[in-house]
Amino acid sequence: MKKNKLLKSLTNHNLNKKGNIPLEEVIFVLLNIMFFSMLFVFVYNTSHGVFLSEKLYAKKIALAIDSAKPGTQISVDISELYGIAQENEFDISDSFYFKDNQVNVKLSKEDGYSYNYFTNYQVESVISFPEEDQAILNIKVRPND
Amino acid sequence: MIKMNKRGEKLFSIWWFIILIIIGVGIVSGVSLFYSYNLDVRFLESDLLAGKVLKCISNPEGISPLVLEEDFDLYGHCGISQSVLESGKYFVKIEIKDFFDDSNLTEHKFGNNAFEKDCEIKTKITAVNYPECSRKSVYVVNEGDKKYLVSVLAASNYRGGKNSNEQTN
Repeated sequence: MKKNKLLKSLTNHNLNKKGNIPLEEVIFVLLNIMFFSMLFVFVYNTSHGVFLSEKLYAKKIALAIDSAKPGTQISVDISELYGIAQENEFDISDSFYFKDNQVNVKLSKEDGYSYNYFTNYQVESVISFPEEDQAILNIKVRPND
Repeated sequence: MIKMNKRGEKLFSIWWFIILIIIGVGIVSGVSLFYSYNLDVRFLESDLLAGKVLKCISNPEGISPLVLEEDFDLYGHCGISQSVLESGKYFVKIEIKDFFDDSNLTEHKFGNNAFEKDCEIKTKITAVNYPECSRKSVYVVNEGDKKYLVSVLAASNYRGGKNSNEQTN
Protein backbone atom coordinates (compact mmCIF):
# COMPACT_ATOMS: atom_id res chain seq x y z
CA MET A 1 0.00 0.00 0.00
CA LYS A 2 2.78 2.37 0.99
CA LYS A 3 4.69 1.45 -2.15
CA ASN A 4 1.62 2.15 -4.28
CA LYS A 5 1.08 5.52 -2.64
CA LEU A 6 4.74 6.44 -3.20
CA LEU A 7 4.59 5.47 -6.85
CA LYS A 8 1.35 7.38 -7.25
CA SER A 9 2.81 10.53 -5.80
CA LEU A 10 5.93 10.32 -7.95
CA THR A 11 4.28 9.50 -11.23
CA ASN A 12 0.83 10.86 -10.64
CA HIS A 13 -0.51 7.82 -12.42
CA ASN A 14 -3.60 5.97 -11.54
CA LEU A 15 -2.51 2.50 -10.78
CA ASN A 16 -4.81 -0.45 -11.05
CA LYS A 17 -5.34 -2.88 -8.26
CA LYS A 18 -2.13 -4.76 -9.06
CA GLY A 19 -0.09 -1.53 -8.97
CA ASN A 20 0.75 -1.56 -12.71
CA ILE A 21 0.61 1.45 -15.00
CA PRO A 22 -2.34 1.10 -17.40
CA LEU A 23 -1.54 0.01 -20.94
CA GLU A 24 -3.17 3.10 -22.43
CA GLU A 25 -0.74 5.41 -20.69
CA VAL A 26 2.23 3.37 -21.86
CA ILE A 27 1.01 3.54 -25.46
CA PHE A 28 0.41 7.28 -25.07
CA VAL A 29 3.96 7.88 -23.83
CA LEU A 30 5.42 5.66 -26.56
CA LEU A 31 3.52 7.55 -29.25
CA ASN A 32 4.88 10.83 -27.91
CA ILE A 33 8.43 9.47 -27.86
CA MET A 34 8.02 8.20 -31.43
CA PHE A 35 6.73 11.56 -32.63
CA PHE A 36 9.53 13.60 -31.08
CA SER A 37 12.12 11.07 -32.26
CA MET A 38 10.85 11.48 -35.82
CA LEU A 39 11.09 15.26 -35.48
CA PHE A 40 14.63 15.00 -34.16
CA VAL A 41 15.67 12.67 -36.99
CA PHE A 42 14.16 15.08 -39.54
CA VAL A 43 16.02 18.09 -38.11
CA TYR A 44 19.30 16.14 -37.95
CA ASN A 45 18.97 14.83 -41.50
CA THR A 46 18.08 18.26 -42.84
CA SER A 47 21.13 19.87 -41.28
CA HIS A 48 23.65 17.10 -41.96
CA GLY A 49 22.05 15.29 -44.80
CA VAL A 50 22.98 14.34 -48.28
CA PHE A 51 20.42 16.61 -49.93
CA LEU A 52 21.67 19.82 -48.35
CA SER A 53 25.30 19.07 -49.25
CA GLU A 54 24.35 18.19 -52.83
CA LYS A 55 22.37 21.42 -53.16
CA LEU A 56 25.12 23.57 -51.63
CA TYR A 57 27.94 22.24 -53.78
CA ALA A 58 25.91 22.13 -57.01
CA LYS A 59 25.13 25.84 -56.64
CA LYS A 60 28.69 26.68 -55.58
CA ILE A 61 30.18 24.95 -58.61
CA ALA A 62 27.61 26.41 -61.04
CA LEU A 63 28.29 29.95 -59.81
CA ALA A 64 32.05 29.38 -60.04
CA ILE A 65 31.69 28.24 -63.65
CA ASP A 66 29.46 31.23 -64.47
CA SER A 67 32.02 33.68 -63.12
CA ALA A 68 34.98 31.99 -64.85
CA LYS A 69 36.56 33.07 -68.10
CA PRO A 70 37.70 30.51 -70.67
CA GLY A 71 40.99 28.94 -69.64
CA THR A 72 40.24 29.17 -65.93
CA GLN A 73 40.93 26.24 -63.63
CA ILE A 74 38.76 25.99 -60.52
CA SER A 75 39.65 23.83 -57.51
CA VAL A 76 36.95 22.98 -54.98
CA ASP A 77 37.67 21.18 -51.72
CA ILE A 78 35.14 18.34 -51.60
CA SER A 79 36.55 16.44 -48.60
CA GLU A 80 33.23 16.85 -46.79
CA LEU A 81 31.38 15.31 -49.74
CA TYR A 82 33.95 12.52 -49.92
CA GLY A 83 33.12 11.57 -46.34
CA ILE A 84 29.36 11.61 -47.03
CA ALA A 85 29.78 9.51 -50.20
CA GLN A 86 31.85 6.97 -48.30
CA GLU A 87 29.14 6.71 -45.60
CA ASN A 88 26.58 6.02 -48.34
CA GLU A 89 28.93 3.52 -50.04
CA PHE A 90 28.95 5.63 -53.19
CA ASP A 91 31.98 6.15 -55.41
CA ILE A 92 33.01 9.82 -55.32
CA SER A 93 34.27 9.67 -58.90
CA ASP A 94 30.63 9.21 -60.01
CA SER A 95 29.44 12.15 -57.92
CA PHE A 96 29.92 14.97 -60.40
CA TYR A 97 28.97 15.26 -64.02
CA PHE A 98 28.46 18.16 -66.35
CA LYS A 99 26.04 17.88 -69.23
CA ASP A 100 23.81 20.27 -71.19
CA ASN A 101 24.90 23.29 -69.13
CA GLN A 102 23.98 21.51 -65.94
CA VAL A 103 26.12 20.42 -63.01
CA ASN A 104 24.86 17.42 -61.11
CA VAL A 105 26.07 16.41 -57.65
CA LYS A 106 25.20 12.96 -56.37
CA LEU A 107 26.32 11.48 -53.07
CA SER A 108 24.14 8.41 -52.85
CA LYS A 109 22.19 6.11 -55.10
CA GLU A 110 19.33 8.63 -55.13
CA ASP A 111 18.85 11.16 -57.94
CA GLY A 112 21.22 13.91 -56.80
CA TYR A 113 20.81 17.64 -57.27
CA SER A 114 21.34 19.65 -60.45
CA TYR A 115 21.84 23.31 -61.16
CA ASN A 116 22.21 25.15 -64.47
CA TYR A 117 25.10 27.37 -65.40
CA PHE A 118 24.41 29.89 -68.18
CA THR A 119 27.88 30.09 -69.70
CA ASN A 120 28.24 28.08 -72.86
CA TYR A 121 31.75 26.80 -72.27
CA GLN A 122 33.09 23.28 -72.21
CA VAL A 123 33.69 21.97 -68.72
CA GLU A 124 36.04 19.15 -67.77
CA SER A 125 36.51 17.84 -64.29
CA VAL A 126 38.79 15.46 -62.43
CA ILE A 127 39.00 14.52 -58.75
CA SER A 128 42.36 14.28 -57.00
CA PHE A 129 43.18 12.90 -53.56
CA PRO A 130 46.26 14.78 -52.26
CA GLU A 131 45.98 13.24 -48.79
CA GLU A 132 43.95 10.57 -47.05
CA ASP A 133 40.34 11.71 -46.52
CA GLN A 134 41.01 14.80 -48.62
CA ALA A 135 39.51 15.24 -52.07
CA ILE A 136 39.78 18.14 -54.53
CA LEU A 137 37.55 18.65 -57.56
CA ASN A 138 39.51 20.33 -60.39
CA ILE A 139 37.36 21.96 -63.06
CA LYS A 140 38.71 23.32 -66.36
CA VAL A 141 36.61 25.81 -68.30
CA ARG A 142 37.40 25.90 -72.01
CA PRO A 143 35.80 27.86 -74.84
CA ASN A 144 33.53 25.96 -77.18
CA ASP A 145 35.22 24.80 -80.38
CA MET B 1 -11.63 9.98 -29.55
CA ILE B 2 -11.52 10.42 -25.82
CA LYS B 3 -11.03 7.42 -23.64
CA MET B 4 -11.74 7.84 -19.98
CA ASN B 5 -10.68 5.68 -17.11
CA LYS B 6 -12.90 4.87 -14.16
CA ARG B 7 -12.18 8.21 -12.49
CA GLY B 8 -13.23 10.07 -15.60
CA GLU B 9 -9.77 11.39 -16.44
CA LYS B 10 -8.87 11.87 -20.08
CA LEU B 11 -6.18 9.55 -21.39
CA PHE B 12 -6.32 9.65 -25.17
CA SER B 13 -7.23 13.19 -26.06
CA ILE B 14 -7.64 14.28 -29.64
CA TRP B 15 -6.54 17.79 -28.65
CA TRP B 16 -3.17 16.54 -27.52
CA PHE B 17 -2.52 15.03 -30.94
CA ILE B 18 -3.67 18.23 -32.65
CA ILE B 19 -1.19 20.20 -30.54
CA LEU B 20 1.55 17.72 -31.44
CA ILE B 21 0.73 18.10 -35.13
CA ILE B 22 0.87 21.90 -34.87
CA ILE B 23 4.23 21.71 -33.09
CA GLY B 24 5.51 19.26 -35.70
CA VAL B 25 4.39 21.40 -38.63
CA GLY B 26 5.95 24.47 -37.02
CA ILE B 27 9.31 22.80 -36.47
CA VAL B 28 9.42 21.23 -39.95
CA SER B 29 8.47 24.54 -41.63
CA GLY B 30 10.97 26.53 -39.60
CA VAL B 31 13.85 24.18 -40.29
CA SER B 32 13.02 23.91 -44.01
CA LEU B 33 12.70 27.69 -44.39
CA PHE B 34 15.95 28.29 -42.54
CA TYR B 35 18.04 25.98 -44.67
CA SER B 36 16.40 26.94 -47.99
CA TYR B 37 16.84 30.68 -47.37
CA ASN B 38 20.57 30.47 -46.99
CA LEU B 39 20.90 28.65 -50.30
CA ASP B 40 19.02 31.18 -52.42
CA VAL B 41 21.63 32.29 -54.93
CA ARG B 42 19.31 33.90 -57.47
CA PHE B 43 20.59 37.40 -56.82
CA LEU B 44 24.22 36.30 -57.18
CA GLU B 45 23.32 34.58 -60.41
CA SER B 46 21.49 37.59 -61.87
CA ASP B 47 24.39 39.80 -60.83
CA LEU B 48 26.90 37.52 -62.55
CA LEU B 49 24.75 37.41 -65.67
CA ALA B 50 24.40 41.20 -65.83
CA GLY B 51 28.14 41.65 -65.29
CA LYS B 52 29.03 39.08 -67.91
CA VAL B 53 26.75 40.62 -70.55
CA LEU B 54 27.98 44.14 -69.78
CA LYS B 55 31.64 43.11 -70.06
CA CYS B 56 30.86 41.33 -73.30
CA ILE B 57 29.17 44.27 -75.06
CA SER B 58 31.31 47.09 -73.72
CA ASN B 59 34.97 47.61 -72.96
CA PRO B 60 37.32 50.60 -72.46
CA GLU B 61 37.61 51.02 -76.25
CA GLY B 62 33.87 51.34 -76.74
CA ILE B 63 30.85 49.16 -77.35
CA SER B 64 30.71 46.20 -79.65
CA PRO B 65 29.28 47.38 -83.02
CA LEU B 66 27.21 44.18 -83.27
CA VAL B 67 25.08 45.20 -80.29
CA LEU B 68 23.80 48.24 -82.20
CA GLU B 69 22.31 45.99 -84.87
CA GLU B 70 18.75 44.74 -84.62
CA ASP B 71 19.58 41.04 -84.91
CA PHE B 72 22.24 41.02 -82.20
CA ASP B 73 23.06 37.43 -81.19
CA LEU B 74 23.80 37.47 -77.45
CA TYR B 75 24.35 33.73 -77.31
CA GLY B 76 27.01 33.48 -79.97
CA HIS B 77 28.72 36.76 -79.14
CA CYS B 78 28.87 36.41 -75.35
CA GLY B 79 29.09 32.65 -74.88
CA ILE B 80 25.75 32.31 -73.09
CA SER B 81 23.64 29.21 -73.42
CA GLN B 82 20.45 29.81 -75.39
CA SER B 83 18.69 26.74 -73.94
CA VAL B 84 19.33 27.93 -70.38
CA LEU B 85 18.39 31.58 -70.95
CA GLU B 86 15.20 30.63 -72.76
CA SER B 87 14.13 28.06 -70.19
CA GLY B 88 11.73 30.63 -68.73
CA LYS B 89 13.81 31.22 -65.62
CA TYR B 90 16.08 34.03 -66.83
CA PHE B 91 15.79 37.41 -68.50
CA VAL B 92 18.30 39.84 -69.98
CA LYS B 93 17.58 43.31 -71.33
CA ILE B 94 20.20 45.47 -73.00
CA GLU B 95 19.55 49.18 -73.53
CA ILE B 96 21.83 51.53 -75.38
CA LYS B 97 20.96 55.20 -74.97
CA ASP B 98 22.55 58.38 -76.14
CA PHE B 99 24.25 59.80 -73.08
CA PHE B 100 23.20 63.43 -73.57
CA ASP B 101 19.60 63.35 -74.78
CA ASP B 102 18.71 59.96 -73.21
CA SER B 103 17.13 58.77 -76.46
CA ASN B 104 16.87 55.03 -76.84
CA LEU B 105 19.19 53.90 -79.65
CA THR B 106 18.64 50.19 -79.36
CA GLU B 107 17.09 47.65 -77.03
CA HIS B 108 17.38 43.87 -76.90
CA LYS B 109 15.47 41.42 -74.73
CA PHE B 110 16.21 37.74 -74.19
CA GLY B 111 14.53 35.11 -72.07
CA ASN B 112 11.29 35.47 -70.12
CA ASN B 113 9.98 38.98 -70.91
CA ALA B 114 7.48 38.85 -68.03
CA PHE B 115 10.39 39.29 -65.62
CA GLU B 116 10.86 42.90 -66.76
CA LYS B 117 7.63 43.92 -65.07
CA ASP B 118 8.36 41.68 -62.10
CA CYS B 119 11.67 43.45 -61.55
CA GLU B 120 9.89 46.79 -61.53
CA ILE B 121 7.41 45.52 -58.95
CA LYS B 122 10.23 44.15 -56.81
CA THR B 123 11.70 47.62 -56.41
CA LYS B 124 8.54 48.59 -54.55
CA ILE B 125 7.55 45.50 -52.56
CA THR B 126 9.12 42.37 -51.08
CA ALA B 127 8.10 39.32 -53.11
CA VAL B 128 9.88 36.06 -52.39
CA ASN B 129 8.61 34.17 -55.43
CA TYR B 130 9.42 36.94 -57.88
CA PRO B 131 12.76 36.80 -59.70
CA GLU B 132 15.87 38.42 -58.27
CA CYS B 133 17.11 41.24 -60.50
CA SER B 134 20.36 43.06 -61.05
CA ARG B 135 20.85 46.31 -62.96
CA LYS B 136 24.20 47.52 -64.18
CA SER B 137 24.98 50.62 -66.20
CA VAL B 138 28.14 51.95 -67.69
CA TYR B 139 29.10 55.05 -69.58
CA VAL B 140 31.00 54.26 -72.77
CA VAL B 141 32.89 56.53 -75.13
CA ASN B 142 32.90 55.02 -78.58
CA GLU B 143 34.86 55.76 -81.76
CA GLY B 144 34.25 59.25 -83.05
CA ASP B 145 33.78 60.45 -79.50
CA LYS B 146 30.18 59.17 -79.36
CA LYS B 147 28.98 58.72 -75.82
CA TYR B 148 26.56 56.02 -74.82
CA LEU B 149 24.85 54.86 -71.67
CA VAL B 150 24.78 51.06 -71.70
CA SER B 151 22.35 49.44 -69.24
CA VAL B 152 21.84 45.76 -68.60
CA LEU B 153 19.01 44.31 -66.57
CA ALA B 154 19.31 40.61 -65.69
CA ALA B 155 16.84 38.50 -63.73
CA SER B 156 16.96 34.97 -62.37
CA ASN B 157 14.18 32.90 -60.85
CA TYR B 158 15.95 29.58 -61.11
CA ARG B 159 16.08 27.38 -57.99
CA GLY B 160 17.58 24.14 -59.30
CA GLY B 161 16.13 20.79 -58.43
CA LYS B 162 16.51 17.07 -58.04
CA ASN B 163 18.17 15.51 -61.02
CA SER B 164 15.86 13.67 -63.35
CA ASN B 165 18.45 12.96 -66.05
CA GLU B 166 20.40 9.75 -66.26
CA GLN B 167 24.10 10.03 -65.88
CA THR B 168 26.17 9.34 -68.96
CA ASN B 169 29.93 8.90 -68.94
